[in-house]
This record gives sequence, structure tokens and C-alpha cells, in this order.
Amino acid sequence: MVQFNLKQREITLKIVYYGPALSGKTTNLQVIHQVLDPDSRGRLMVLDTSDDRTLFFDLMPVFFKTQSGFTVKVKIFTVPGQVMHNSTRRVVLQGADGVVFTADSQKSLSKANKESWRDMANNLKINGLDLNEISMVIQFNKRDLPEVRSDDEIAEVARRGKEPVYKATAIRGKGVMETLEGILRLTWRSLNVKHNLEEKLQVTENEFITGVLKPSDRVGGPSFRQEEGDLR
Amino acid sequence: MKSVSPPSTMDSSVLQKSFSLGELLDLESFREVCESYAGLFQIGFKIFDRSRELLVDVKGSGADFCAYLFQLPEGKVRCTREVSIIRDLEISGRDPIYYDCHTGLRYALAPIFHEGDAIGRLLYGPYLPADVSPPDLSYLGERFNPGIASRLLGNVRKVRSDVVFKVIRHLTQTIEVMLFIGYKHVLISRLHVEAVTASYADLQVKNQELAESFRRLKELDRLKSNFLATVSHELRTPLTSVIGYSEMLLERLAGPLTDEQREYIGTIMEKGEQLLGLISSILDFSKIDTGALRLNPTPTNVVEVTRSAVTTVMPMARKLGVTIDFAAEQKTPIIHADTDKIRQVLVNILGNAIKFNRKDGTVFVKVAPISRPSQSARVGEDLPVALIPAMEEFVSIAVADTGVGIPSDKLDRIFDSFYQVDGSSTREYGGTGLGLAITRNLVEVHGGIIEVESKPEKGSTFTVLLPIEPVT
Ligand SMILES: Nc1nc2c(ncn2[C@@H]2O[C@H](COP(=O)(O)OP(=O)(O)O)[C@@H](O)[C@H]2O)c(=O)[nH]1
Ligand SMILES: [Mg+2]
Repeated sequence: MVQFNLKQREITLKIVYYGPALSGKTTNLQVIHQVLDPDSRGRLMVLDTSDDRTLFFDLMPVFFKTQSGFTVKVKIFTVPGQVMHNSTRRVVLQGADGVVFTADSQKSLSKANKESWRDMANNLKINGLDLNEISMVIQFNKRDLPEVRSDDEIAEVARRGKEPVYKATAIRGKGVMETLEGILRLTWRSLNVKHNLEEKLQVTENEFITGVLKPSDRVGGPSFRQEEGDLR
Repeated sequence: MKSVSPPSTMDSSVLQKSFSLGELLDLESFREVCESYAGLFQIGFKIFDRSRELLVDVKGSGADFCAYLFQLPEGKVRCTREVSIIRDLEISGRDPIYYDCHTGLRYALAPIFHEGDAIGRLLYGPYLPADVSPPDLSYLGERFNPGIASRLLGNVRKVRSDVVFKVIRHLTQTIEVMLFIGYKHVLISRLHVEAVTASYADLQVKNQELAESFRRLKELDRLKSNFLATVSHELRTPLTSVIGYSEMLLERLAGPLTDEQREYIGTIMEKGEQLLGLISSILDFSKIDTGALRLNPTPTNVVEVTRSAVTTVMPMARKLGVTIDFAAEQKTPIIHADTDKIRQVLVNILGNAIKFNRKDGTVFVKVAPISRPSQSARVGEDLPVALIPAMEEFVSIAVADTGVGIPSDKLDRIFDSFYQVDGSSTREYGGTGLGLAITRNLVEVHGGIIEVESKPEKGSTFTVLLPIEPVT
């Protein structure tokens, strides 16, 4: 739920990456972390499954100041995909303004995608959020692997569904920022309709997008340099 | 079923909360770090949180000089004023800003960020800037001693501004990392609690649903038993007439019969009686099941009851070529029990032992008193061990057959209502599958135990244990 703090002239949005275990949610966040300007994002907090913890999720805040003097914060979370962590997923999903559903493109994982989607729908409902109202994009990740659902098939489901669909190879940084931009725009528009953000904050959609997605001047850290054109 | 949603923890999550500097740091150990930092550069500093509350105050090489000036009236006024001015200076951006105080010493003020918020500020100094010569302090009045002042000033660390810049950046970064780690720990621990609470709420809901469906099943079970009782009663009445009129015909009350007619009517009567037996057992079962069964306990000689049960099944045994071997210990005590019900139990078990025996097999029947260690689970639910007698006394009636035995995975289910080891046995031998369920219930209402042991191809032994102490 978007949080306004008009006294401190601050607004906080929440974006959640949801999806089955190992679909590449953390990898998305790692890419975003590398691409964005270190001055406009916080540290990446990764609580990963290699530790003996009962709690896994990732968190990274992004922030910028608008020309009108508002601080805009976007907190990006990922949820743990493992079935047993349902309650953590639900807590993390609470109050989300936008959701990226990161699906695994591998054919063998279609069932896992579907189950995760149903689980998400259920958790949204319990959190008082409406699947039909919340801003949502779908990302088909791991396009580099063999035995994935074909481009045609994805184009077809994209045409039929109402959620915008993005293709990504997060491990190479491909499609990650496009997906993020997609969900940010969608979320902004929907919040704008509901809360009249542009007028209240004196910020346009484009200022919001360029503010949040301000790239680092150090773009193309070692692991990204070889894939020019994939990154903004 | 009505679905209940677990309570949503909407907006109360730790993920939505923002924390102050003091909440994210372990102040005790943070002060230690600050002390050692100040010692390293001999420059003191203060740390304030967002609401300008002083969290850390460590002294450096400027302390003595400042203390000397502070005890002068004019010095005190100026120092106090300046510190509060510096503390509240506007900072925009990430870089430190600088302030020279009336003594010529310098302070730097830098923001401390957490997740893009200036969550506190670092007031670094005083130090002696390398590029400034100290001003004349004679305005502090006649008590001011330039000699002492310049000696103390000589102790104040002199630093170049680029060095100060780097030190401050390093210090704020260190603090920001500590804040990040602190935040991480707060999130982990509180979110863990939230997740556990949410799981607990889920389980509560599931438990409620289970309890509800359990209640409904029990209710259905009760309705079923009532239904059985009614139906079997309604079946019995006309059947008694069928049997009665057949009997009258056989006794030629309606005139003479041909051989063929006698044979047919005989069959009608026999099958009718079989059917009546089945219906009675269903009725018995439903009575026990609904708790409608009344025991009529009298002093019972188990040896005699067993003997009479053996006599009852003897014709059947003969027909199937099965021998019955009966043995009883003479000192078997008289117990308090419902004699008819015990006989029913034994007839049933004996009947099974004969039916499921091999041709030319034997049924061994043995009656004897035994004592064995108490099973506390059965004796007293909440009783302390000391209050449970160590040994319990029973009269045991063991009935062993020499049949094919019962597969071990079926053993615990054979006492369940309507259960058949395999469906074929009902068809072959008849029966409702209620016999053993009724038997067990009858034994248990006496406070007794029924047990079964079986060896494949060797045979099964059913043992009924009836407590010698009277049922209360
Ligand atoms: N081949 C391939 N592997 C990927 C891609 N994205 C992520 N992975 C790998 O998939 C595994 C799980 O990724 P991770 O981001 O931890 O998944 P999460 O459970 O959704 O957070 C890791 O080994 C990643 O390196 C991709 O686009 N292609
Ligand atoms: Mg992950």
C-alpha cells in the first residue's frame, strides 16, 4: 500500500517479485542493484537459502528526490519460492503496489509456475489485495535455456492475457530493467488514477521513471560488459 | 464449508515500519567503536539521531582547550550558542558542511543515511584546520590566559581538510554498514515472528475446520447407527412372521405336506433364521454404538460359559470336520459380568475359529486366570503412576485355530466395523463384517481387552481378557 508522508514530503511504493523457487527473482534484484546508481539505491539485502535460516527474502530500496522536493522511495522485495515459506511470502506481499511474477520458461516448470500463481492469488486475497486490480507484469525468465516455451507460445499467451509479458535472461542482465520499467510505469499509472499522484507530488511519470532507474555511471560492471545493448 | 480467513496483518509488518538510529544500533558496542575511532584520529565527535537527540559523545584532543574556555563566562555563552547552531545546520546532499567557531577551531557536520533517509548526523570536531591561523581570543576578558590557551591549543589535532573529508566519509560509511546490519537483524527477527504468527493463525483456522468436520462426521455416524437400529427393528418384525408361519406349516397346522413342500418350507425357515441372525447382529452393533446397550452383570463362571459356548458351536464344527480341544484351569475365579453377552462373544470367536480353519483342523480353547503389568494408558488417563496397580488380574479365554492366518498388515483393522480381511470371505462364509466389531465392543464395555495374534499358514489366536475386579 503506497505510503504517503506529506509532512516529510515522502512517498513509498512497494514492488514485489513473486514466483516459484529458483525462477531468478534474486538474480533480477542483483542485476538491478548493479545497474542503478549507487547514490540512488540502498544496499541489497539478500537472505538466501544457503544459510540455515527459516526466512528468506531479498530487499533493496531505490530512492530519488523530485524537482518538486518530494522523496520518492521504491522498496523492491523478492519472496521465498519454497512451498514451506508460505507465511513469509504472505507477509512480504502485504501492501504491495505492484507485482512482477517471475516465471521459469522451462517447459518442465510450467506446473510450478501455475502453482506459484495460485498461491500468489490466494495470498493477495488474504492480504486484502485484488488480483484484478493490483499492477502486475509477468516475466518469463531463463530464455537462454533449452526446452523452454517458445517465443511464439509466449507471444500467444501475452496476447490473450491482460498482464504485460516480458522475456528475460536475468543471469545475463537481459530483460531485467525492461521488466522493472514495465511494472513501475503500470504501478505509477494506477496509483495516479487512485491518488492523483502527479498533481499532489508535481511529478510526471517520466520523471518518476528516470528518477528511479537512474543508471550508475559505472554501468557495465565486469559481468555485464560483454552483453552490450542488453543494458540501459 | 464456510471458509475462515486468517487475520491479515495488513500494514503492521516490520517491513512497513521505519526505525530510528538508536533502534538499529546496539548503542553500547557502537559507543565502543566510536571511542576507538576518536582515539585513532584524536578528534572527538557527536552523533545525533533524526530528532536531534544526542546518542554518542566522544572526546578528542580539543576537549581540554574547550573545557578551559567553557569555564570562562563569556566562553560558556559563546560555546553553548554555537554548538546548538551547528547541531541544527541545514545539510543538503551527502557531503559534509563546515563551521568555524569563535575560537578558530572547526567542526564538520555530515548526514548519516539509511535507505536514502538522513536518519542522523555526525558532528565531527573540533579540530584545528591546517589552513587557518587561530584568532585573537582576548575578548574573552581578563581571566583569559593566552599562555594556558596556547599551550592547550597546541594539543589540539591539526588536520588538512582533505584528510577530514576522507575520515568523515569513512566514518559515516562504517556507521551506515552497521545500520544496514542492524536493520537486517531487526527484519530477520521480527519477520520471523510475523511469519510464525501467520503460520499459527493458518493452523488455527485449519484446526477449526477439522474440528467442525469431525463434529459433523460424528453426527453422521450417530444418525447412521440410529438408522440401522430402526431399519433392523423394522426388518425383524415381518421376518418373525415369515419364520413363524413357516414353522406352523411344517407342523402341519394347515394340513399335510408333500416331501417336496416340506423341503421348500424347511429352506425358507432356515434362510429366514439366518437372516434374522444377521439383522440381530446389526441391531446389537448399533445399540452398542449408540451407547444403548445395557449390561446385566451377575456372578459368572467363565469356565462354564465357555463350555456352553463350545457346546453351541459343536454341531457346526462336526459338520466342517474341525476338532475342538477344550482346557480350563479349575481355580479360575468367578467374575462379575453379563453372562449372556460373554457367551455371545465366545460363540462368535469360536464360530470364526471353526469357519476359517482348515479341513480337519483343530480349535484350541483355553481358560485360565492370568496377571500382567498394567497398561496405564487404559487404566487411568491422568493418574500418577504410583496410583496404578502394577499388575492387573484377568480371566483369559484363548481361542486358537489352525487356519491360514491373517496378514499382519490387516491385523489392526479386523475389529473395525464392516471390515473384511478380503471381500471374498463374506461371500464364502457369510456375515456382515460386524461380528468382530460387536465382539470387541462387548468385551470393552466389560472393561476387558481382546487381542489377536496370527502366524501366516499356522493360524490365529484370539484372546479375550476379562478383568477379575468387578466393573464399576
Ligand atoms: N540459465 C539461467 N539461469 C538463471 C537465470 N536467472 C537465474 N538463473 C539461475 O537460477 C538459479 C536461481 O536463481 P535465483 O535468482 O536465486 O532464484 P530465486 O529463487 O527466484 O531468487 C541461480 O542458479 C541463477 O543463477 C537465467 O536467466 N538463465
Ligand atoms: Mg531468492
